[in-house]
Amino acid sequence: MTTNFKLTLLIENDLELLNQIEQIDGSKLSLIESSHYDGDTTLIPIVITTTAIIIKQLALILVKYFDSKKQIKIVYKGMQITCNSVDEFDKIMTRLTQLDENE
Amino acid sequence: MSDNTLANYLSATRFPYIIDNSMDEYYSIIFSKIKDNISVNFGISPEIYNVYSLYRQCEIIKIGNDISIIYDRYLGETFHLMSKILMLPHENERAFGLCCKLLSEAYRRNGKFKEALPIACVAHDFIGEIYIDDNDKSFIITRKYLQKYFHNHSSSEIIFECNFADIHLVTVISESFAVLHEISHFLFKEKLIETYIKDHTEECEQIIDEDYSIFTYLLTGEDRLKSSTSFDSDFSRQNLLEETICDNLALELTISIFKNDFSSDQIAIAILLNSYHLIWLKHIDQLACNSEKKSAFSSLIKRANSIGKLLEKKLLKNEIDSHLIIQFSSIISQYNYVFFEKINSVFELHNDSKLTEKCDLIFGEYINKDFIDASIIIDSLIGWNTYKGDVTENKKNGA
Repeated sequence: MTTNFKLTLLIENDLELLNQIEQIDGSKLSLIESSHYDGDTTLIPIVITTTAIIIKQLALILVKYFDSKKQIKIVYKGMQITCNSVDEFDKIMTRLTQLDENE
Repeated sequence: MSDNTLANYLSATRFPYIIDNSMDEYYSIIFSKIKDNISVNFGISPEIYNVYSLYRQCEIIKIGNDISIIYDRYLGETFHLMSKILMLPHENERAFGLCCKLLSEAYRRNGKFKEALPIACVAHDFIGEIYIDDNDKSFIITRKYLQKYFHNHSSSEIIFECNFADIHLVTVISESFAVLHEISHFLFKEKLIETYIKDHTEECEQIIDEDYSIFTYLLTGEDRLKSSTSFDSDFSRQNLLEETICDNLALELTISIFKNDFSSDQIAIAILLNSYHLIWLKHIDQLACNSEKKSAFSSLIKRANSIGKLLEKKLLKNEIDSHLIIQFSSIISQYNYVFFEKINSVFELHNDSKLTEKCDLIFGEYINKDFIDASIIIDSLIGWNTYKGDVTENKKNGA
Protein backbone atom coordinates (compact mmCIF):
# COMPACT_ATOMS: atom_id res chain seq x y z
CA MET A 1 0.00 0.00 0.00
CA THR A 2 1.70 3.14 -1.17
CA THR A 3 -0.88 5.79 -0.48
CA ASN A 4 -2.80 6.79 2.59
CA PHE A 5 -5.74 4.56 3.24
CA LYS A 6 -8.87 5.89 4.91
CA LEU A 7 -10.50 3.53 7.32
CA THR A 8 -13.72 3.99 9.24
CA LEU A 9 -14.05 1.92 12.39
CA LEU A 10 -16.80 1.46 14.90
CA ILE A 11 -15.31 0.90 18.33
CA GLU A 12 -16.39 1.21 21.90
CA ASN A 13 -16.24 4.67 23.36
CA ASP A 14 -13.11 3.77 25.29
CA LEU A 15 -10.89 6.75 26.03
CA GLU A 16 -7.81 4.64 26.72
CA LEU A 17 -8.13 2.82 23.40
CA LEU A 18 -8.70 6.06 21.50
CA ASN A 19 -5.62 7.60 23.11
CA GLN A 20 -3.52 4.60 22.14
CA ILE A 21 -4.69 4.79 18.53
CA GLU A 22 -4.10 8.53 18.44
CA GLN A 23 -0.52 8.05 19.64
CA ILE A 24 0.42 5.84 16.68
CA ASP A 25 3.06 7.79 14.84
CA GLY A 26 1.69 9.23 11.58
CA SER A 27 -1.91 8.26 12.12
CA LYS A 28 -4.57 10.86 11.75
CA LEU A 29 -7.64 10.10 13.76
CA SER A 30 -10.95 11.92 13.66
CA LEU A 31 -13.53 11.20 16.26
CA ILE A 32 -17.09 11.58 15.07
CA GLU A 33 -19.78 12.45 17.57
CA SER A 34 -22.94 10.98 16.16
CA SER A 35 -26.53 11.42 17.25
CA HIS A 36 -27.31 8.03 15.85
CA TYR A 37 -25.34 5.10 14.72
CA ASP A 38 -27.74 2.19 14.40
CA GLY A 39 -29.05 3.33 17.77
CA ASP A 40 -26.01 1.80 19.42
CA THR A 41 -24.68 4.32 21.87
CA THR A 42 -21.71 2.24 23.05
CA LEU A 43 -20.06 2.14 19.63
CA ILE A 44 -18.65 5.32 18.15
CA PRO A 45 -17.37 5.90 14.64
CA ILE A 46 -13.81 7.05 14.00
CA VAL A 47 -12.20 7.85 10.68
CA ILE A 48 -8.51 7.04 10.61
CA THR A 49 -5.96 7.73 7.90
CA THR A 50 -3.58 4.79 7.82
CA THR A 51 -0.71 3.17 5.99
CA ALA A 52 0.42 -0.47 6.02
CA ILE A 53 2.68 0.23 9.00
CA ILE A 54 -0.06 1.99 10.92
CA ILE A 55 -2.42 -0.94 10.33
CA LYS A 56 0.14 -3.31 11.84
CA GLN A 57 0.48 -1.07 14.90
CA LEU A 58 -3.27 -0.80 15.11
CA ALA A 59 -3.53 -4.60 15.13
CA LEU A 60 -1.07 -4.75 18.03
CA ILE A 61 -3.20 -2.33 20.04
CA LEU A 62 -6.35 -4.26 19.23
CA VAL A 63 -4.94 -7.60 20.52
CA LYS A 64 -5.79 -6.64 24.12
CA TYR A 65 -9.12 -5.30 23.02
CA PHE A 66 -10.07 -8.58 21.35
CA ASP A 67 -8.69 -10.56 24.31
CA SER A 68 -11.30 -8.94 26.51
CA LYS A 69 -14.00 -10.29 24.18
CA LYS A 70 -14.73 -6.93 22.61
CA GLN A 71 -15.29 -6.49 18.91
CA ILE A 72 -14.80 -3.74 16.39
CA LYS A 73 -16.64 -3.12 13.17
CA ILE A 74 -14.92 -1.95 10.02
CA VAL A 75 -17.28 0.17 7.99
CA TYR A 76 -16.67 -0.15 4.28
CA LYS A 77 -19.02 0.92 1.51
CA GLY A 78 -22.10 0.73 3.66
CA MET A 79 -21.21 -2.63 5.23
CA GLN A 80 -20.31 -3.21 8.83
CA ILE A 81 -17.80 -6.03 8.94
CA THR A 82 -17.38 -7.43 12.42
CA CYS A 83 -13.92 -8.44 13.68
CA ASN A 84 -13.57 -10.57 16.79
CA SER A 85 -9.87 -11.31 16.51
CA VAL A 86 -6.63 -9.91 15.15
CA ASP A 87 -6.63 -12.64 12.50
CA GLU A 88 -9.99 -11.49 11.23
CA PHE A 89 -8.81 -7.88 11.34
CA ASP A 90 -5.68 -8.75 9.33
CA LYS A 91 -7.65 -10.74 6.77
CA ILE A 92 -10.16 -7.96 6.16
CA MET A 93 -7.49 -5.26 6.05
CA THR A 94 -5.49 -7.23 3.50
CA ARG A 95 -8.56 -7.47 1.29
CA LEU A 96 -9.40 -3.78 1.69
CA THR A 97 -5.82 -2.85 0.88
CA GLN A 98 -6.00 -4.85 -2.35
CA LEU A 99 -9.22 -3.08 -3.30
CA ASP A 100 -7.71 0.30 -2.51
CA GLU A 101 -4.72 -0.42 -4.73
CA ASN A 102 -6.97 -1.53 -7.59
CA GLU A 103 -8.99 1.66 -7.37
CA MET B 1 -14.85 21.35 6.88
CA SER B 2 -11.15 21.80 6.26
CA ASP B 3 -10.16 18.15 6.00
CA ASN B 4 -11.93 15.30 4.27
CA THR B 5 -13.16 13.52 7.37
CA LEU B 6 -16.81 14.02 6.53
CA ALA B 7 -16.33 12.86 2.94
CA ASN B 8 -14.44 9.79 4.14
CA TYR B 9 -17.09 9.05 6.71
CA LEU B 10 -19.88 9.34 4.16
CA SER B 11 -18.14 7.23 1.56
CA ALA B 12 -17.62 4.48 4.16
CA THR B 13 -21.10 4.55 5.66
CA ARG B 14 -23.37 5.67 2.81
CA PHE B 15 -22.43 3.38 0.00
CA PRO B 16 -23.97 2.61 -2.41
CA TYR B 17 -25.46 5.98 -3.02
CA ILE B 18 -26.97 7.52 -6.07
CA ILE B 19 -26.62 11.16 -6.93
CA ASP B 20 -29.91 12.51 -8.12
CA ASN B 21 -30.75 16.19 -8.60
CA SER B 22 -34.43 15.74 -9.20
CA MET B 23 -35.55 16.56 -5.69
CA ASP B 24 -33.08 19.25 -4.67
CA GLU B 25 -35.63 22.01 -4.84
CA TYR B 26 -38.09 20.14 -2.67
CA TYR B 27 -35.51 19.40 0.02
CA SER B 28 -34.17 22.92 -0.16
CA ILE B 29 -37.62 24.25 0.75
CA ILE B 30 -38.17 21.83 3.60
CA PHE B 31 -34.69 22.16 5.08
CA SER B 32 -34.70 25.96 4.89
CA LYS B 33 -37.82 25.98 7.07
CA ILE B 34 -36.14 23.68 9.59
CA LYS B 35 -32.84 25.56 9.57
CA ASP B 36 -34.51 28.94 10.04
CA ASN B 37 -36.44 27.63 13.02
CA ILE B 38 -33.55 25.99 14.86
CA SER B 39 -31.24 28.90 14.14
CA VAL B 40 -33.68 31.31 15.81
CA ASN B 41 -34.62 29.01 18.70
CA PHE B 42 -31.30 27.34 19.51
CA GLY B 43 -28.60 29.38 17.79
CA ILE B 44 -27.18 26.51 15.75
CA SER B 45 -26.78 26.47 11.98
CA PRO B 46 -25.83 23.01 10.83
CA GLU B 47 -25.10 22.16 7.21
CA ILE B 48 -27.52 19.66 5.74
CA TYR B 49 -26.21 16.99 3.40
CA ASN B 50 -28.54 14.97 1.26
CA VAL B 51 -27.58 11.41 0.45
CA TYR B 52 -29.44 8.46 -1.01
CA SER B 53 -28.18 5.16 0.27
CA LEU B 54 -29.02 1.82 1.83
CA TYR B 55 -28.12 3.23 5.25
CA ARG B 56 -31.50 4.99 5.31
CA GLN B 57 -31.00 7.10 8.43
CA CYS B 58 -31.03 10.69 9.52
CA GLU B 59 -27.90 11.38 11.54
CA ILE B 60 -26.38 14.46 13.12
CA ILE B 61 -22.63 14.40 13.43
CA LYS B 62 -20.13 16.71 15.03
CA ILE B 63 -16.54 16.77 13.85
CA GLY B 64 -14.55 19.27 15.86
CA ASN B 65 -16.89 22.23 16.12
CA ASP B 66 -18.69 21.57 12.84
CA ILE B 67 -22.23 20.22 13.05
CA SER B 68 -23.75 18.47 10.05
CA ILE B 69 -27.10 16.85 9.45
CA ILE B 70 -26.94 13.92 7.06
CA TYR B 71 -30.34 13.14 5.68
CA ASP B 72 -30.87 10.04 3.58
CA ARG B 73 -33.56 10.44 0.96
CA TYR B 74 -34.13 6.71 0.94
CA LEU B 75 -35.71 7.16 4.37
CA GLY B 76 -38.33 9.49 2.86
CA GLU B 77 -38.85 7.15 -0.05
CA THR B 78 -39.42 4.26 2.35
CA PHE B 79 -41.84 6.32 4.48
CA HIS B 80 -43.75 7.24 1.36
CA LEU B 81 -44.02 3.70 0.08
CA MET B 82 -45.00 2.33 3.48
CA SER B 83 -47.71 4.97 3.91
CA LYS B 84 -49.04 4.19 0.49
CA ILE B 85 -49.10 0.45 1.09
CA LEU B 86 -50.70 0.96 4.48
CA MET B 87 -53.35 3.47 3.59
CA LEU B 88 -54.54 2.18 0.28
CA PRO B 89 -56.14 -1.24 0.78
CA HIS B 90 -55.44 -2.40 -2.76
CA GLU B 91 -51.73 -1.78 -2.15
CA ASN B 92 -51.50 -4.02 0.93
CA GLU B 93 -50.32 -7.04 -1.00
CA ARG B 94 -47.06 -5.26 -1.80
CA ALA B 95 -46.08 -5.35 1.88
CA PHE B 96 -44.57 -8.83 1.76
CA GLY B 97 -42.12 -7.90 -1.02
CA LEU B 98 -41.18 -4.68 0.77
CA CYS B 99 -40.58 -6.59 4.02
CA CYS B 100 -38.24 -8.98 2.16
CA LYS B 101 -36.36 -6.10 0.60
CA LEU B 102 -35.97 -4.16 3.84
CA LEU B 103 -34.88 -7.19 5.88
CA SER B 104 -32.28 -8.23 3.29
CA GLU B 105 -30.97 -4.65 3.22
CA ALA B 106 -30.63 -4.69 6.99
CA TYR B 107 -28.65 -7.95 6.86
CA ARG B 108 -26.47 -6.50 4.13
CA ARG B 109 -25.67 -3.40 6.18
CA ASN B 110 -24.66 -5.67 9.05
CA GLY B 111 -22.42 -7.77 6.84
CA LYS B 112 -24.64 -10.85 7.30
CA PHE B 113 -24.67 -11.95 3.69
CA LYS B 114 -25.55 -15.56 4.30
CA GLU B 115 -28.71 -14.51 6.14
CA ALA B 116 -29.44 -11.84 3.54
CA LEU B 117 -29.25 -14.20 0.57
CA PRO B 118 -32.51 -16.21 0.76
CA ILE B 119 -34.52 -13.14 1.73
CA ALA B 120 -32.91 -11.11 -1.08
CA CYS B 121 -33.74 -13.88 -3.56
CA VAL B 122 -37.40 -13.73 -2.56
CA ALA B 123 -37.27 -9.90 -2.62
CA HIS B 124 -35.92 -10.10 -6.16
CA ASP B 125 -39.06 -11.93 -7.27
CA PHE B 126 -41.17 -9.13 -5.84
CA ILE B 127 -39.22 -6.08 -7.05
CA GLY B 128 -41.65 -5.53 -9.91
CA GLU B 129 -44.49 -5.48 -7.41
CA ILE B 130 -42.79 -3.28 -4.82
CA TYR B 131 -42.26 -0.41 -7.22
CA ILE B 132 -45.06 -0.26 -9.70
CA ASP B 133 -44.70 3.29 -10.99
CA ASP B 134 -42.43 6.35 -10.85
CA ASN B 135 -44.49 7.67 -8.01
CA ASP B 136 -43.17 4.86 -5.80
CA LYS B 137 -39.50 4.96 -6.68
CA SER B 138 -38.73 8.63 -6.59
CA PHE B 139 -42.15 10.19 -6.07
CA ILE B 140 -41.10 13.08 -8.28
CA ILE B 141 -44.68 13.66 -9.32
CA THR B 142 -45.85 14.15 -5.79
CA ARG B 143 -42.81 16.25 -4.89
CA LYS B 144 -43.59 18.59 -7.75
CA TYR B 145 -47.17 18.71 -6.62
CA LEU B 146 -45.99 19.74 -3.18
CA GLN B 147 -43.55 22.31 -4.51
CA LYS B 148 -46.39 23.86 -6.47
CA TYR B 149 -48.32 24.33 -3.27
CA PHE B 150 -45.44 25.86 -1.40
CA HIS B 151 -44.61 28.22 -4.24
CA ASN B 152 -47.94 29.20 -5.70
CA HIS B 153 -50.32 29.22 -2.81
CA SER B 154 -50.48 31.34 0.27
CA SER B 155 -50.63 29.46 3.52
CA SER B 156 -54.34 29.99 3.92
CA GLU B 157 -55.00 28.34 0.58
CA ILE B 158 -53.30 25.11 1.55
CA ILE B 159 -56.23 23.38 3.05
CA PHE B 160 -56.61 19.67 2.63
CA GLU B 161 -59.21 17.48 4.12
CA CYS B 162 -57.72 15.04 6.52
CA ASN B 163 -58.11 11.98 4.38
CA PHE B 164 -55.68 9.33 3.24
CA ALA B 165 -55.37 10.52 -0.32
CA ASP B 166 -52.68 13.09 0.40
CA ILE B 167 -49.96 10.67 1.36
CA HIS B 168 -47.26 12.94 0.03
CA LEU B 169 -48.18 15.52 2.67
CA VAL B 170 -47.77 12.83 5.29
CA THR B 171 -44.32 12.16 3.82
CA VAL B 172 -43.15 15.76 4.04
CA ILE B 173 -44.17 16.03 7.68
CA SER B 174 -42.68 12.61 8.41
CA GLU B 175 -39.33 13.53 6.91
CA SER B 176 -39.27 16.82 8.79
CA PHE B 177 -40.19 15.15 12.07
CA ALA B 178 -37.40 12.61 11.59
CA VAL B 179 -34.85 15.41 11.13
CA LEU B 180 -36.22 17.40 14.06
CA HIS B 181 -36.16 14.32 16.31
CA GLU B 182 -32.44 13.85 15.60
CA ILE B 183 -31.81 17.56 16.14
CA SER B 184 -33.56 17.22 19.51
CA HIS B 185 -31.19 14.39 20.48
CA PHE B 186 -28.26 16.57 19.52
CA LEU B 187 -29.56 19.48 21.60
CA PHE B 188 -30.18 17.08 24.49
CA LYS B 189 -26.68 15.61 24.41
CA GLU B 190 -25.00 19.00 23.97
CA LYS B 191 -26.93 20.34 26.99
CA LEU B 192 -28.47 23.11 24.90
CA ILE B 193 -32.03 22.52 26.16
CA GLU B 194 -31.47 22.13 29.89
CA THR B 195 -34.40 24.38 30.80
CA TYR B 196 -36.69 22.57 28.38
CA ILE B 197 -35.65 19.23 29.84
CA LYS B 198 -36.24 20.48 33.38
CA ASP B 199 -39.68 21.84 32.47
CA HIS B 200 -40.82 18.68 30.66
CA THR B 201 -39.25 15.83 32.61
CA GLU B 202 -42.20 15.43 34.98
CA GLU B 203 -44.71 15.44 32.13
CA CYS B 204 -42.67 12.88 30.18
CA GLU B 205 -42.17 10.70 33.27
CA GLN B 206 -45.97 10.65 33.66
CA ILE B 207 -46.36 9.62 30.04
CA ILE B 208 -43.99 6.71 30.59
CA ASP B 209 -45.77 5.64 33.78
CA GLU B 210 -49.34 5.98 32.55
CA ASP B 211 -51.41 3.06 31.40
CA TYR B 212 -50.81 1.91 27.91
CA SER B 213 -52.53 3.99 25.31
CA ILE B 214 -55.24 2.59 23.13
CA PHE B 215 -52.83 2.83 20.20
CA THR B 216 -50.29 0.55 21.77
CA TYR B 217 -52.94 -2.03 22.48
CA LEU B 218 -54.13 -1.97 18.89
CA LEU B 219 -50.61 -2.28 17.57
CA THR B 220 -49.40 -4.99 19.80
CA GLY B 221 -52.32 -7.09 20.92
CA GLU B 222 -52.92 -8.11 24.50
CA ASP B 223 -50.39 -10.93 24.71
CA ARG B 224 -47.48 -8.87 23.53
CA LEU B 225 -48.57 -6.06 25.82
CA LYS B 226 -48.42 -8.33 28.85
CA SER B 227 -44.98 -9.52 27.92
CA SER B 228 -43.57 -6.03 27.85
CA THR B 229 -44.05 -4.77 31.35
CA SER B 230 -40.42 -4.60 32.38
CA PHE B 231 -37.53 -2.70 30.87
CA ASP B 232 -34.92 -4.50 28.80
CA SER B 233 -31.36 -4.18 29.88
CA ASP B 234 -30.51 -2.48 26.59
CA PHE B 235 -33.29 0.06 26.80
CA SER B 236 -33.41 1.69 30.16
CA ARG B 237 -35.97 4.01 31.59
CA GLN B 238 -33.46 6.82 31.06
CA ASN B 239 -33.27 5.98 27.34
CA LEU B 240 -37.03 6.10 27.07
CA LEU B 241 -37.18 9.40 28.96
CA GLU B 242 -34.70 10.95 26.52
CA GLU B 243 -36.66 9.57 23.56
CA THR B 244 -39.93 10.94 24.96
CA ILE B 245 -38.47 14.39 25.66
CA CYS B 246 -36.99 14.48 22.14
CA ASP B 247 -40.30 13.35 20.62
CA ASN B 248 -42.03 16.07 22.63
CA LEU B 249 -39.68 18.78 21.39
CA ALA B 250 -39.70 17.49 17.79
CA LEU B 251 -43.50 17.46 17.87
CA GLU B 252 -43.67 21.05 19.10
CA LEU B 253 -41.14 22.18 16.48
CA THR B 254 -42.96 20.36 13.67
CA ILE B 255 -46.23 22.01 14.65
CA SER B 256 -44.61 25.44 14.86
CA ILE B 257 -42.87 25.07 11.48
CA PHE B 258 -45.84 23.70 9.56
CA LYS B 259 -48.81 25.22 11.39
CA ASN B 260 -49.48 27.58 8.48
CA ASP B 261 -49.12 24.90 5.85
CA PHE B 262 -50.95 21.92 7.29
CA SER B 263 -53.82 21.34 9.66
CA SER B 264 -53.19 19.90 13.11
CA ASP B 265 -55.06 16.75 12.02
CA GLN B 266 -52.66 16.22 9.15
CA ILE B 267 -49.68 16.78 11.42
CA ALA B 268 -51.05 14.35 14.01
CA ILE B 269 -51.63 11.57 11.50
CA ALA B 270 -48.28 12.14 9.82
CA ILE B 271 -46.36 12.02 13.09
CA LEU B 272 -48.18 8.96 14.31
CA LEU B 273 -47.40 7.22 11.05
CA ASN B 274 -43.82 8.44 11.05
CA SER B 275 -43.30 7.13 14.55
CA TYR B 276 -44.66 3.71 13.69
CA HIS B 277 -42.67 3.59 10.47
CA LEU B 278 -39.51 4.36 12.43
CA ILE B 279 -40.35 1.80 15.10
CA TRP B 280 -41.09 -0.83 12.48
CA LEU B 281 -37.86 -0.10 10.58
CA LYS B 282 -35.98 -0.31 13.87
CA HIS B 283 -37.68 -3.64 14.54
CA ILE B 284 -36.35 -4.94 11.20
CA ASP B 285 -32.85 -3.66 11.99
CA GLN B 286 -32.94 -5.40 15.35
CA LEU B 287 -34.11 -8.63 13.77
CA ALA B 288 -31.15 -8.43 11.41
CA CYS B 289 -28.69 -7.46 14.16
CA ASN B 290 -29.34 -9.93 16.91
CA SER B 291 -32.39 -12.06 16.16
CA GLU B 292 -33.59 -11.36 19.71
CA LYS B 293 -37.09 -10.76 18.48
CA LYS B 294 -38.90 -10.63 21.77
CA SER B 295 -36.43 -8.43 23.60
CA ALA B 296 -36.24 -5.90 20.80
CA PHE B 297 -39.98 -5.81 20.39
CA SER B 298 -40.52 -5.12 24.04
CA SER B 299 -38.47 -1.90 23.82
CA LEU B 300 -40.30 -0.83 20.73
CA ILE B 301 -43.69 -1.30 22.37
CA LYS B 302 -42.63 1.14 25.10
CA ARG B 303 -41.59 3.63 22.47
CA ALA B 304 -44.88 3.22 20.63
CA ASN B 305 -46.76 3.77 23.86
CA SER B 306 -44.98 7.00 24.77
CA ILE B 307 -45.60 8.43 21.30
CA GLY B 308 -49.25 7.46 21.45
CA LYS B 309 -49.64 9.19 24.82
CA LEU B 310 -47.80 12.28 23.59
CA LEU B 311 -50.10 12.64 20.62
CA GLU B 312 -53.12 12.12 22.81
CA LYS B 313 -51.97 14.91 25.12
CA LYS B 314 -50.67 17.38 22.56
CA LEU B 315 -52.99 17.01 19.63
CA LEU B 316 -56.16 15.28 20.68
CA LYS B 317 -56.64 17.24 23.91
CA ASN B 318 -60.08 16.42 25.30
CA GLU B 319 -61.75 15.46 22.07
CA ILE B 320 -62.18 11.84 23.00
CA ASP B 321 -64.75 11.25 20.31
CA SER B 322 -62.65 13.02 17.73
CA HIS B 323 -62.70 11.60 14.24
CA LEU B 324 -58.93 11.46 14.64
CA ILE B 325 -59.25 8.68 17.19
CA ILE B 326 -61.09 6.62 14.61
CA GLN B 327 -58.50 7.38 11.96
CA PHE B 328 -55.63 6.62 14.33
CA SER B 329 -57.20 3.35 15.37
CA SER B 330 -57.79 2.41 11.77
CA ILE B 331 -54.17 3.13 10.84
CA ILE B 332 -52.77 1.15 13.72
CA SER B 333 -54.91 -1.92 13.34
CA GLN B 334 -53.99 -1.89 9.66
CA TYR B 335 -50.34 -1.54 10.66
CA ASN B 336 -50.44 -4.67 12.73
CA TYR B 337 -52.00 -6.64 9.90
CA VAL B 338 -50.02 -5.19 7.00
CA PHE B 339 -46.52 -4.92 8.40
CA PHE B 340 -45.92 -6.68 11.72
CA GLU B 341 -47.52 -9.94 10.66
CA LYS B 342 -45.78 -9.85 7.28
CA ILE B 343 -42.31 -9.35 8.70
CA ASN B 344 -42.79 -12.37 10.94
CA SER B 345 -43.67 -14.43 7.84
CA VAL B 346 -40.57 -13.12 6.09
CA PHE B 347 -38.38 -14.01 9.06
CA GLU B 348 -39.76 -17.55 8.88
CA LEU B 349 -38.23 -17.89 5.40
CA HIS B 350 -34.99 -18.78 7.19
CA ASN B 351 -36.66 -22.05 8.13
CA ASP B 352 -37.45 -22.87 4.51
CA SER B 353 -34.76 -25.45 3.81
CA LYS B 354 -35.63 -25.76 0.12
CA LEU B 355 -35.17 -22.04 -0.39
CA THR B 356 -31.87 -21.84 1.48
CA GLU B 357 -30.49 -24.93 -0.29
CA LYS B 358 -31.40 -23.52 -3.67
CA CYS B 359 -29.84 -20.14 -2.87
CA ASP B 360 -26.69 -21.82 -1.57
CA LEU B 361 -26.44 -23.88 -4.73
CA ILE B 362 -26.63 -20.86 -7.02
CA PHE B 363 -24.82 -18.18 -5.01
CA GLY B 364 -23.18 -19.95 -2.08
CA GLU B 365 -19.71 -20.06 -3.61
CA TYR B 366 -19.62 -16.29 -4.11
CA ILE B 367 -21.40 -15.36 -0.90
CA ASN B 368 -19.04 -17.39 1.29
CA LYS B 369 -15.84 -16.51 -0.54
CA ASP B 370 -15.57 -12.78 -0.21
CA PHE B 371 -17.61 -9.98 1.34
CA ILE B 372 -17.20 -7.76 -1.73
CA ASP B 373 -18.61 -10.42 -4.09
CA ALA B 374 -21.37 -11.07 -1.57
CA SER B 375 -22.37 -7.42 -1.36
CA ILE B 376 -22.49 -7.11 -5.16
CA ILE B 377 -24.81 -10.13 -5.41
CA ILE B 378 -27.10 -8.88 -2.66
CA ASP B 379 -27.22 -5.33 -4.12
CA SER B 380 -28.08 -6.75 -7.49
CA LEU B 381 -30.85 -8.98 -6.11
CA ILE B 382 -32.52 -6.15 -4.22
CA GLY B 383 -32.23 -3.77 -7.14
CA TRP B 384 -29.62 -1.26 -6.07
CA ASN B 385 -27.59 0.58 -8.67
CA THR B 386 -24.41 2.15 -7.46
CA TYR B 387 -22.78 5.41 -8.31
CA LYS B 388 -19.35 6.57 -7.31
CA GLY B 389 -18.82 10.17 -6.41
CA ASP B 390 -18.12 12.57 -3.61
CA VAL B 391 -21.42 13.34 -2.06
CA THR B 392 -20.05 16.37 -0.22
CA GLU B 393 -18.83 18.08 -3.39
CA ASN B 394 -22.09 19.30 -4.74
CA LYS B 395 -24.88 17.77 -2.75
CA LYS B 396 -24.90 20.14 0.14
CA ASN B 397 -28.51 21.04 0.22
CA GLY B 398 -29.46 23.59 2.80
CA ALA B 399 -30.98 26.96 2.25
